[in-house]
Amino acid sequence: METLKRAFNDRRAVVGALILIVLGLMALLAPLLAQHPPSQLSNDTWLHPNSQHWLGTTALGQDVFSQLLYGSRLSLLVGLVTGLIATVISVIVGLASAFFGGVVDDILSGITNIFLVLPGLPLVIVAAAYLQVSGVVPVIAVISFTGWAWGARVLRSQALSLRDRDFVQAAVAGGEGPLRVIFAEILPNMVGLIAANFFGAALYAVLAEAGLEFLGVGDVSQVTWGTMLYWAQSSQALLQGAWPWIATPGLCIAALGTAFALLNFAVDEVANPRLRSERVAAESKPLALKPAGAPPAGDALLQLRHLEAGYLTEKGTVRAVKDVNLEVHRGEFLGIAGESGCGKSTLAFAVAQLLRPPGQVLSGEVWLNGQELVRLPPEALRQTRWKDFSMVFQSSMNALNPVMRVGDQIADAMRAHGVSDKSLIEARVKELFGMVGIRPEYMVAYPHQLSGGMKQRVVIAIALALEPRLVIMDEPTTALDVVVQRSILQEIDAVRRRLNLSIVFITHDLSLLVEMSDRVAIMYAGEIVELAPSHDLYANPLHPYTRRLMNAFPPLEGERTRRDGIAGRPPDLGRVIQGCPFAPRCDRAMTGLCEVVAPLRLEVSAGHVVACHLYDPNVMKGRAEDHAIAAD
Amino acid sequence: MPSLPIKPNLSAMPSEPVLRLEGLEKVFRSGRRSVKAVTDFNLEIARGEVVGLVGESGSGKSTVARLTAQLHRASAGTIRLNGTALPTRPNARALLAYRRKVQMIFQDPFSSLNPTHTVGYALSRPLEIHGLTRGRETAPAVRSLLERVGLSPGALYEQKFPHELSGGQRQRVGIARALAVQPLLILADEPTSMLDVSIRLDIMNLMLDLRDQEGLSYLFITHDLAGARYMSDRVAVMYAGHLVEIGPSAGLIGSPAHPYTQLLKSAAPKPESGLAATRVDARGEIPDLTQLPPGCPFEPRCPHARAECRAALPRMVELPGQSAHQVRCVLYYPELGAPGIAEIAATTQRASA
Amino acid sequence: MLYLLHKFALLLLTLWAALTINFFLPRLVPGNPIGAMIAKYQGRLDPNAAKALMIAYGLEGHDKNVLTQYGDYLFKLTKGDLGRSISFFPAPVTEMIGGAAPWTIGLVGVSTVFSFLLGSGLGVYTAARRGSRFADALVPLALFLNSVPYFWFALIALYVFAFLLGWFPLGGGVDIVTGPNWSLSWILSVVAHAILPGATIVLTAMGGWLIAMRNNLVSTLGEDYVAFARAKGLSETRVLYAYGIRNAILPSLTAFGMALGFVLGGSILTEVVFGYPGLGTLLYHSVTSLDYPLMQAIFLFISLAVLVANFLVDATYALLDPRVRTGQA
Ligand SMILES: Nc1ncnc2c1ncn2[C@@H]1O[C@H](COP(=O)(O)OP(=O)(O)O)[C@@H](O)[C@H]1O
Ligand SMILES: Nc1ncnc2c1ncn2[C@@H]1O[C@H](COP(=O)(O)OP(=O)(O)O)[C@@H](O)[C@H]1O
Ligand SMILES: [Mg+2]
Ligand SMILES: [Mg+2]
Repeated sequence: METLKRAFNDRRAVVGALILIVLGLMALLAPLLAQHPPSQLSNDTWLHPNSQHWLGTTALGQDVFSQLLYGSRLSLLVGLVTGLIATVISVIVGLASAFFGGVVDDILSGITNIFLVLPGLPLVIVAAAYLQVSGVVPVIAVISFTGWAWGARVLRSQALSLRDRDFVQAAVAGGEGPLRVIFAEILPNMVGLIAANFFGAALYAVLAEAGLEFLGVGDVSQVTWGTMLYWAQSSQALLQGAWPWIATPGLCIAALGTAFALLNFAVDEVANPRLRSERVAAESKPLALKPAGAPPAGDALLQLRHLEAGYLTEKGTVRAVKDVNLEVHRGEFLGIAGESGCGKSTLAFAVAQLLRPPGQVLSGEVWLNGQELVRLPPEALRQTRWKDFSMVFQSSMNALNPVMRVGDQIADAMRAHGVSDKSLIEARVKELFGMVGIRPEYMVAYPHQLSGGMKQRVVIAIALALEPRLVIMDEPTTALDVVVQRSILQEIDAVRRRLNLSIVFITHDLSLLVEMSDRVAIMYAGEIVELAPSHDLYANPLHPYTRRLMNAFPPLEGERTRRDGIAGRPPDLGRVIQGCPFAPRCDRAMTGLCEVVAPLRLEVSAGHVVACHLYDPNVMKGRAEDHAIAAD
Repeated sequence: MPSLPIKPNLSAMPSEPVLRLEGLEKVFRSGRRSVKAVTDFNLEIARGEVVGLVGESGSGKSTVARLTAQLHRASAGTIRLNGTALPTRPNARALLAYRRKVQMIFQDPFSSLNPTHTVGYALSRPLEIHGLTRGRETAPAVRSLLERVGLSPGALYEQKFPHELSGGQRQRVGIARALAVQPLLILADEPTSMLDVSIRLDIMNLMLDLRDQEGLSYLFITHDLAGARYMSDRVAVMYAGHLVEIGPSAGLIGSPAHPYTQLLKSAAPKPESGLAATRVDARGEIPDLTQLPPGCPFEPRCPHARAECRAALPRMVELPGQSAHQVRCVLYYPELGAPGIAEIAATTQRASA
Repeated sequence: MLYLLHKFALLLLTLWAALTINFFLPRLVPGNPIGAMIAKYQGRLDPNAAKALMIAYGLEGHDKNVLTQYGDYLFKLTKGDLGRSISFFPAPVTEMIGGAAPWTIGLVGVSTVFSFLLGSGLGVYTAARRGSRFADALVPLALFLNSVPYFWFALIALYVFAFLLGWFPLGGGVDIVTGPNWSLSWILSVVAHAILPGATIVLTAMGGWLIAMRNNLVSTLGEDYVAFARAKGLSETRVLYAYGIRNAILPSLTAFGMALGFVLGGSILTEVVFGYPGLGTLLYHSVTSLDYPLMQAIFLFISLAVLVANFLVDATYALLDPRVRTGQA
């Protein structure tokens, strides 16, 4: 339902529906609009369009316009009814195939495959010729008979994937019977696809019917757009100059077909979220940036200055990274932790200049090794990428091209940066594989031949290919098992020490981060709320959020005590946030202060920065005085 | 912050366990390939007990839960509920009666609720299927269920569609759905692994509270040792479809006996120590389940592997003096002098040093 | 290889299904179509032909049950015997098909492949240039072209370009006077006759491929591996070709294979409009003259052609997709 509603927000769907409505009105109002009965013969043959006969007359003196109006009735009927029947068959076959599986599936899929490749139209023609068709019923039957297979195939695979979804399993485990599972659980989720399929089948039906009738194998005594074309063609209408007789029914068929095709396309787009979001992406525009300041003076490899990034959506700007200032030193392992939705990935992508619309760096500077990345022209950026910094994505399971050998995917990156010596590349690939612990035989393997852990290792090998100074890793091991995770992390750490790389490592697993990092930054609601050397952070977490987050990991040793999570949720970054973003969830929030005034970032001890009023001496002093006054 | 000790579970010692799995086995066949996902699996869960089931992905944890929930049919073995065996091919009535007592919570809160139905519908169905409420009684029952899992006011959440809820709220709905039929046992298949760290504890706490209030039993599946320790009275460890170790959670996780459990523990994040301090030797990956070796499945990766390991699948043996702690490893065979015991003692000493 | 064997088995199965449908169709329809046909030819039909027909359709020789007839039918088929045409009695239908098939394969085959390439190319363009006005305008245009009946488009093209403008011949496959087959003037004449029908097929069939390729490529460009390829600093061209198109072509190929039957079916109607001496015109002739043996043989032949083409597409697919090639999909 939701999908259908959304489909009708689409311009194309509206146009399609409008065409359908106009044609429907033609069919309904034919007796009112037509000045002549459609089949009435007269002596006024071959008339050109005039006020009596708007589209002229036929070889037998029938009014073309009236025929066109009345013809819409059967043409529409055939299209809709055939589409419906074919769709019903598709749904039944597809669902039965998916739901029963086993032998039933084998047989039904076999039949579907046969009907898919059998040439439908010739079969329809032969069948119709045998049936000596009279009336539209056989036409509908024959076209439905050949038009269901494509839909059955698509619906089967959709139903198969739905059948394995947990909510179906949950319904079964709850005691739901098979019919209800099919009709109440699976089917409602297929509405979009079924609708798309219906429009597709209707389009096929309209075209097939026109073809049949044009050949004269339908019932040519009926008035449809197809039979009009048949009679026009057999009377050589074009040579007589009676072009409306041919042009208009054809156009009407094309219009009806287009209406179905537009609806099919629009529903398809809604049912496939990727097509949709990309469309939004194509529509957003770049912002103007202020010129950058001077390059950093210190020894920082990476310096972020007042970095702001977010997403320009229809509902407004989502500010996912707010005024982030951060330095990463050479050889440093910097961890970033926080709940999901706090802007960690956005920060990583903003640093790497990889945000795709609607995502965007809004302002600020990213200095890497003396270069400002935000304002770098695309070609210079492309060259810097991977040479100076590389990135490992959150979802590395899909980061490898399925049709390319994994070794080539490393070579690819090297070639793009000017390494062209084949033997050099091969030696390097071998070396990299050794570094991340994969046997060199796997260089020629395709991604599907590797396990999840191995794919992740390949991705890390690609990230190290050009020995960049900085590697940004966005939850690279979250999807992996602890044992695999540990061994990959050990390898990353060894490589870092050997090559003196800097690593920015993002994860929500704070206990892992504390173990691995030199420094840890805690992110909340797009801001860095605490930054400290990791041992310092572990021994002495300051920000109430950090403390709660730390507490959220039960220990492996020691007493088993009851712990609490963090009540509430991170704020919606699309809204304006007043005061400290954590205040509503904070058990130490000071009313009248925290929800009003945003805390400053203060360095409370060497390298330990926190943004919380509790550690702001001025604020606390002021409050103490207030209390003293109040107590007086 | 006040921290309460978890209540010791007093009711956990009746004569007959709620659930008993005997020799459970599952082979998935597709074409000529057959995957032996679960092999000779035995487990008991007492009333009010939480048994944690840990192991890396692909080790067969979900399959055990799905077999127990009768979502898959076992290739061999028996499932006993309160001592009564479920027939291998139960009829609809027997199945419905069984489902009334055994419910499941799923891993992915985003796919375990049907996006086309409201929360109210999802919760009313089990009530109606099992004839617990009828007609107008259903709505109030649904609301009180919602409130019991912390979604109040129930009247508000009842009308929501899953996409209007956060991950944690959805998982609460999942719990409420399992709770609806007042089951004896809930199979929770990694109910927290897809949730944000900040809400995992809340969900676990909710489950523990419900256990205390309703005397529920849980099979709590997780791949996180710390989470298993937090939740469970006993922990079972699976590897490549086999149960390799089972015991009281504090003892088992405190000093794991099986080399695989030891590996799992050493790989878990430990904020106290630096990464370099605990180098683990994690060679190899989980074996191919289509052709399991005849011996111990962990043997190819095991640092203590010996000839006996390859000969036959080791049997479960009790650790000396701890009848509740059993392990499937030749290192603990009494006839071989149980060399593993000394090993554990040494490791524990090294760790504490 | 297992994949191709599987596909070949499917080919055989489908072929068998086509043969069986072909055999039972005349026996299943109510009434007596063969009787009607014989009645239609009353007087003009060679008695031998009538007798041959009666036997072929099981109307005579009641001693034989349907299964025996079916066995006979399959046996004759293996010898390439599809019977004789009624309207051109006693010409064997295989001979007639042999005369027409090269024209169809030349025109429809070439045009279909060409329209697939052109449509897919434009699909790539519309996907890669989403947001530009021209690229976005191509999509509804493609949807429209995809919905136009082939034969109608052919009629209009014929009227405008051949009749009104006189740029192309009005019909047929080749001028009779141009000289011996395969002489230069003959080839030029064949080409001149093929351009207009070919162009109409290309244009009408193209829309579907355009949409398919566009949607596939748009989905593919949203994949993580494409984002990762960009992050690696590969040039946009390399990303588009080696990562985008290389993957998007796979589902497009599947769709091509599946739609072949429909497209070929539609294209043969184009032949009728142009009086092109191929299978479509022959099928039209056989339908209007109720020449059932010819009609059925043409159906069988088209089925076979589609199946073989489909198999070639599958083989190409296997070549392009390592997941299929290594037998793990
Ligand atoms: N494409 C997008 N359009 C709009 N908002 C987005 C988009 N991607 C992410 N966001 C929003 O940006 C915020 C930060 O997301 P993200 O950087 O992915 O967080 P994290 O990596 O910490 O989980 C979230 O509130 C999320 O809803
Ligand atoms: N429906 C199924 N069909 C075929 N194989 C399956 C099916 N379900 C699970 N398996 C296989 O069984 C093994 C155990 O899987 P599973 O029980 O999901 O493990 P876990 O939950 O521990 O990750 C895996 O190798 C998996 O591929
Ligand atoms: Mg993220
Ligand atoms: Mg699982």
